[in-house]
Amino acid sequence: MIFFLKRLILFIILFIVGSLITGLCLNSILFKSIYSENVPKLSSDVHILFIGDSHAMCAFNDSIIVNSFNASRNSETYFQTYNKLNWILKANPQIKLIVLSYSPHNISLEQNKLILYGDRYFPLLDRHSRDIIEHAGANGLLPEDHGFLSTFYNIRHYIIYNFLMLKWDWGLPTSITPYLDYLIEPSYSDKKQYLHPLFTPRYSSIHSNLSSETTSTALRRHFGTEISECTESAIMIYYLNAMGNLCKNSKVNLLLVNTPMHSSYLKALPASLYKKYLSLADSLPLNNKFIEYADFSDSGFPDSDFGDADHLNNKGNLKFANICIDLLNKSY
Amino acid sequence: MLFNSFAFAIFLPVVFILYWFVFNKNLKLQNGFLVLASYFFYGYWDWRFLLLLIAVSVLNYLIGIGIEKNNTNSKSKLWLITGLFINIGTLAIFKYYNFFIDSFIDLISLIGYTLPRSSANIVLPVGISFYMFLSLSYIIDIYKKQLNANRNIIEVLLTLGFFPIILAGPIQRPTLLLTQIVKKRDFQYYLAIDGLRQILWGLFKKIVIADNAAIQVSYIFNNYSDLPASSLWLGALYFSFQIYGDFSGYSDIAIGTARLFGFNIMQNFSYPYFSCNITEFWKKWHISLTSWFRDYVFMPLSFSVSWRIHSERIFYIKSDLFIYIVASGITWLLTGLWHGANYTFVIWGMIHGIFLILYYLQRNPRKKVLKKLNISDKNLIIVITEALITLLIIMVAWVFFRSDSISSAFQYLNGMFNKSILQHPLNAAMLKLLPLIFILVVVEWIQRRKKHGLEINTINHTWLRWGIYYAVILMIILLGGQQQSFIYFQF
Repeated sequence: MIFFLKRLILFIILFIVGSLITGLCLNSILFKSIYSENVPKLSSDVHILFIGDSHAMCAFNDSIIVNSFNASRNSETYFQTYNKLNWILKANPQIKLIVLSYSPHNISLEQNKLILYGDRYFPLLDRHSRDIIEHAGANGLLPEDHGFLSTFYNIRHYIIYNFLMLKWDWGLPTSITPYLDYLIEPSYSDKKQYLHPLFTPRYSSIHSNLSSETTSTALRRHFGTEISECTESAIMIYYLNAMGNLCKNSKVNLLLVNTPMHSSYLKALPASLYKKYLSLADSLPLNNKFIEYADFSDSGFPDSDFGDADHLNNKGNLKFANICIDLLNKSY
Repeated sequence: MLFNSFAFAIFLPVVFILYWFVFNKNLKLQNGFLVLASYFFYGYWDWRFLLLLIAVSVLNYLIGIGIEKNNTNSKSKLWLITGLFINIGTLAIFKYYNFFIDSFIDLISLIGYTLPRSSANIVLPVGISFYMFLSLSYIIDIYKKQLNANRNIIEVLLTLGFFPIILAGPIQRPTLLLTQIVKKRDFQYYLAIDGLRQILWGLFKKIVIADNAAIQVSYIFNNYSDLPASSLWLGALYFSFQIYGDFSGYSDIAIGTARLFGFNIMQNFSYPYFSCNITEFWKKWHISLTSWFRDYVFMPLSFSVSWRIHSERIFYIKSDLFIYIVASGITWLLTGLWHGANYTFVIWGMIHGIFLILYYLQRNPRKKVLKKLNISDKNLIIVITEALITLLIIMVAWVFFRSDSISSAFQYLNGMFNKSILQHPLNAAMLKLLPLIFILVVVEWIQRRKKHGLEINTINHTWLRWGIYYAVILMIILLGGQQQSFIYFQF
């Protein structure tokens, strides 16, 4: 019995030590080489970069809009978009315009919950962003529905976050899924650089049609169960401003676009958050001539153009592409 | 308490240490402590369910004594009937009440009457089907004089509520469990080590295979009308591995946990997807349930029918075949119903029943044909073809098991058989599970003669064995899916 326990304890100690060493190797060699040091260069004629969450992903068709590239990803928060943009701009000075999807939910407090789930972004984070994750509890990022350490799965997350967040880049790799993505993603196989995790999944159209269920689901996802009480996220607003400064320092224009949304969704938006959203949309361009704001949320698209309450489907998307081309031609 | 929860990660070592270091001197204390631990484990979910478990266990304890005391007169049968009534009645109320009421209303509506639907708000106690079957075994075995009624209530409570198997089996026969409970148990190093290995393999199957598959399966089954046939086939395949990973993973954790406490629990799965025919599949899938139905339903039913048949043929069918069809039909109807109060489960059970009967019918003609063609039973092409056909039948049957209704199951099947089968699945992410399934299949094929996939005690090099354990742990940590409840808890 004692022998059994001794062996078990030795096994566990070796596992922890081995994990640290393996993590050190994998993190510093594998992930750094994929993410940080080898951010691919986009083609030299790509001047417009679409970025943001699923709103940008479903709205901006980069195969129709010339000289553009859509590097958005669903459920991406500004916290993650900022860090991603930081790397892309460093490697791609030819980019002249960043088109960022900017809708009320992007600054909602609910977005904070998504920060910890974006483990594929961890290797990209700058020092300030790392601090936010390291103090996840104090920053209110931990999910409330089940205590952080209540299940094995949360322990797994705990290990992943904290090992990665240790100084000197020690720890386990955040997730090997992005690496697998990079290896096996079949789309765009003609252009190797587009397989990079920073640039996937790119533009994607929705083939479904609107239903009342999707409106309430989208609202709950964006603003929580108590929609009217949803407030703004200081973290998201900070990173929105940070993206403004980043564009300014890189001499790149930033266009904030509120993509088309269904009237049922617009009517149900939380009033105080929407007010804050509009004041930000006004103040940012006022304070910075590099930034502009375009609101297409209430553009009168019929129901048949929506895949759900806040995304156009492939039919609506074609119409919106023409509107985008007009806007970009006029302004840039 | 879930096996894959943090609470269990604390509970298990605490109970293990107390069991072997504090209560190991006295068997009665050890058993008493296990009963308390088991009730804490079960009541952690909802203490109200614990009261039901205790009540059922005490009643069966008393009924067992009643049967044995009266085994020389007819009162014994009365005690048995009372026991059956209590156990089956409890199961019927908690699990099937709404289903029976709805079915009755549907039946009445066929003859033109409409009754108002009012479903009772009954919460299904977790694991009820499992401990009710244990209880039934206990009293039936006493009635059949295969087991003596135990006078020690602690030992009976432990038999009917032992925590590793209380929630989802294996449905360990009281005859086999009681004999271990009444004997002094000493710590066995190799049993405990293999128990840990089996727990680890169970966690791999649950967290890496089943939990990852669950996400894809939910997506595919919720959007089947918009997806090509290739995706629907992938959905059926993934569900086959989801339910296997989920349930066999659970069984491995349960058996491994029991081994840590010195108990040997029966094997519940024996690599069922490597079966060459449907009969073999059911000898390898959920063995404890299949053998339960065989011993307590199929065999008694077959004997009962055969005693009533005096002619050689009934409806132009040979009497032995007729008996097999009747007994199989009823057994598989009940097996389907055991899984849940829904027609989809009934259809699933009947599909397996029909294919078992068809297999029974073709055995002799098949032998003759193969003999005529001078082809061996073990011919590789024959074996592979039959294994693939078996897997196909099982996959199609799982569609009914997974679907919300019979109509959606048929629509799903309709979608599986059209020309879009050659299309690339719409979502490339769907394919990411295939390498993990491949790893599972390869490991289990290599280990198919062992009790579980990680039974690697024959590897002499400690570092190689430990390297394999570490690899499995890392896969669980890095590749595990989002936490899902065990599917079989709902049964």
